[in-house]
Amino acid sequence: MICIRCDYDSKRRERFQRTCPKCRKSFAFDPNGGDILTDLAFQNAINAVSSNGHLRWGVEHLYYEVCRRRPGWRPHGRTLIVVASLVLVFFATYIVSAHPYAAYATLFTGVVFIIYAGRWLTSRNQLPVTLKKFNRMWERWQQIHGRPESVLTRRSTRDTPVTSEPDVVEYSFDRVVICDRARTVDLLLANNFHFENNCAVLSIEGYPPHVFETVRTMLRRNPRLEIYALHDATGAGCRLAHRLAHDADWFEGREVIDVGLRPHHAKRYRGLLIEPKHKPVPVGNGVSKKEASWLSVYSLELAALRPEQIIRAVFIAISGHHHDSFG
Amino acid sequence: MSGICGYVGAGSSALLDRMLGAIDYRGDTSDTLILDNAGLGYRWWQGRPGKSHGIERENTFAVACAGTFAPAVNSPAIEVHRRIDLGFDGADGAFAAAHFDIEAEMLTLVRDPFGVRSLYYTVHAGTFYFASELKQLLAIEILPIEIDPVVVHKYLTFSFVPGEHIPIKGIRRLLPGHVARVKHGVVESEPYFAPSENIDRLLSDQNEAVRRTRIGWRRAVENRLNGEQRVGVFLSGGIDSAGVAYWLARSGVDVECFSLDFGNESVEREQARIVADHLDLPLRFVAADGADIDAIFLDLVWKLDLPFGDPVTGPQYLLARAAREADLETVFNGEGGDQLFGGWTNKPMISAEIYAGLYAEESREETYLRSYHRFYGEEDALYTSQFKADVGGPGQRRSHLAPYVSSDTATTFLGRMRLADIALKGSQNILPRAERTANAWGLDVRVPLFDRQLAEHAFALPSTMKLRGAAEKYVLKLVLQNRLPDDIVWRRKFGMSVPMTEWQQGPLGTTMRDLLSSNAIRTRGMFREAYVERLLEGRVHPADPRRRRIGERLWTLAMLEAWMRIFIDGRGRKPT
Repeated sequence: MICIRCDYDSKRRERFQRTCPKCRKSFAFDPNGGDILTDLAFQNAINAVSSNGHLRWGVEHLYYEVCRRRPGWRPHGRTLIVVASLVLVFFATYIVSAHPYAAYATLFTGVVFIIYAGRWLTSRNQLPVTLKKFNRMWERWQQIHGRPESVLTRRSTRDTPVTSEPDVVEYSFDRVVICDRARTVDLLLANNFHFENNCAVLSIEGYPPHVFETVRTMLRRNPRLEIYALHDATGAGCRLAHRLAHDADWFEGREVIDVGLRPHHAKRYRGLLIEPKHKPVPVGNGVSKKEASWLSVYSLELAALRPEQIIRAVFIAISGHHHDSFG
Repeated sequence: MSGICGYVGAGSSALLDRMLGAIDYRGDTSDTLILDNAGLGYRWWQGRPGKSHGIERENTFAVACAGTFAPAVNSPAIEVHRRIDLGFDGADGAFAAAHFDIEAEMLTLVRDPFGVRSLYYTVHAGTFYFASELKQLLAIEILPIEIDPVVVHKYLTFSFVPGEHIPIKGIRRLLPGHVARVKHGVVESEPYFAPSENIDRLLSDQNEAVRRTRIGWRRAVENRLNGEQRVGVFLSGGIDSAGVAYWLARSGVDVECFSLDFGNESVEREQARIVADHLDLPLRFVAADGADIDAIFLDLVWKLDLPFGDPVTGPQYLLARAAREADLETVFNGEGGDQLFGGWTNKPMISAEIYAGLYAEESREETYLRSYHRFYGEEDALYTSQFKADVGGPGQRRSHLAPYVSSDTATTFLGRMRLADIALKGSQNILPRAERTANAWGLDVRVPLFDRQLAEHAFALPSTMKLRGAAEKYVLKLVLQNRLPDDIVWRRKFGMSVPMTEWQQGPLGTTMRDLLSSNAIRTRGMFREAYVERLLEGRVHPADPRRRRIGERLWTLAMLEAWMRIFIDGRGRKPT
């Protein structure tokens, strides 16, 4: 196992109490002790979400990255288990049973069981690492290696003035991205998306609170404002663009471009789908029948995508490229 | 289109000849004057209106003046002498001059208010030398040449060289709008002009603001006509150059338009055509692609004199060449509108100001440095440990901004940003590069929006007359409304986009890979090879996926390496 501090690759027998035999510094994890990742794999996960330190990211992004990196886990692993079990049961039944009818009866029972088990397994939408387990890993990592510099840390906005410059609030923005989550707002702002694209970023629920109404007032000053919706693939998320375009408090009657995520974006993230919090999802208000059906069974959080993918997708959308940004 | 040089101390006629010879493209005629303890040199094109006709000399003084005043005067050199006692308050135009008081043995150097013309100086072995161009000083054989890493560090952030210091140790330049008095080798410099915000509440009335802006803009254009019968104008497709073309057309001179053609990568070609058609002016498109830039690259670097990390310099050189081939001697451009009247470049700073302090404590100065989109924040990845050590401690770049972004001479945020933009981006980047690319082909460049009175008027306008909602340069749009098509006036501005990334991955690739090869990078010892290699491979920064940033950064590095080869290794001699 490689020590990320001194690069020494130690054998199991060399290590004592999770300590590198060369530099004597502690490891956070040891797969031989039951951990699912090594320190190096966890560091690689951090490098991936931060694009090698270039981006700020949230702990939720790291959680999904760890899920992606869990050893042996594959998006279609459950299907393979079901098929392999089916074959095994058939041969076991045929060999063990002297009577063909008993074999067929057992086989029939086994097939029915496997079908139900398979359905259960594939529809359970559980991520391969529980949040509780990940939180323990994250705590342990910070104890041993410290908090990564690139992790997104929100400062308190309670006493933050909008700006000390009175004229600033008299202007406007060229465009705005409205998100369904405050954490998505954090991701874009902390990575200077607003600065690079002259773009306001707000959440539908009022984040950041200290500038929320100020920015909304500024947005009303631009009759040619470009409006984008960015959200999870959930019922509420998929209704966001519709809501913005029909709510008098927002942008009633204006075109709102839905950047995603929507159910058709989920193909590449099958193993990262989770149970929807609210179901069933009704049809209408921007959600089609097919989408409602999918959203009643699954949901996909934006955090399942790496920050770089999210930023690039929004950038593509605002650059006027009309193809599907997350496609 | 002219240049000066000189010395106070030990010198000779041969020295002046060498210094004037280094800028032979700045004129077909030269004049020198040798005094007891000083010498002056002047090179210019014969027959150009508004220029000095030689070095002015009397018993008690001598003056060499490059450039012109606005409005034009019979002799800029005499005008400089007249102002030596009166002061330069109110002086405007594009000039750089040296006045030597023979009795007092005092040299006075002066630059125009916004810095169209340049002046460099240095002191070596007790002699004070000055010149319009750096390469003239490097023609002094005894002058030592050593790169200044601190200034290179600043260049890599700003994409141009800011401030008094240049990337060669010991050589400085006079700042725009400054007068320097030199006696016994001691230089004392002070500003005679510095824009400041002074809001006139009467201009909150839109009609009055538009009226005064219209009068000021037209006057600024007409003041820069020195009697020429025929001039060129560089049309970008935006409203600034379109407005200049409009006022030129109204002035009665023959106007010919020139605009860049990037082929399929053109962004504003159609808009330039619409403007020219609307004004019934002839328009010539100047094709610019990577092969064209490759062919002129080394000459461009040499003529620019200092490294300029904006790829627009290549196409500007081609524009100037086309204008010269059309037998023009004077060209106008629309530079300055963004800096004076609140262009789109202010918007990122406003966005940053609104959301400031949410995640990291980044000062306004740091945000402003980031807005240049070069290597700010990338130093650890780009610099070798040796170069980083040579650069020294923090705060050196921010010191250039402190007088502006937190200035008391402005009462609004937009005013502060514009002060910084004018002093840095305008005076130390846009204007000198425009002058040098035009000079490269013997052209006089006139930049009417950088007019002293018009600037003072711009700083008297309330901010909402400049940036109204998201509409930038609002008052200029109102002036041109009904004078130019609405599609031109009210179109959202995107900035000129030079397809440098595509060129570097095509026709310019060989030159770039030569300048930025591993061997070249290793030899200089300033940058990490891996970082440059990543750029050459075309990898974008994850937080800013614009592909054009790759081209901009590579150009900045390649320009620096080419500049070092010509000016450090080759002492400023013309590359072959």
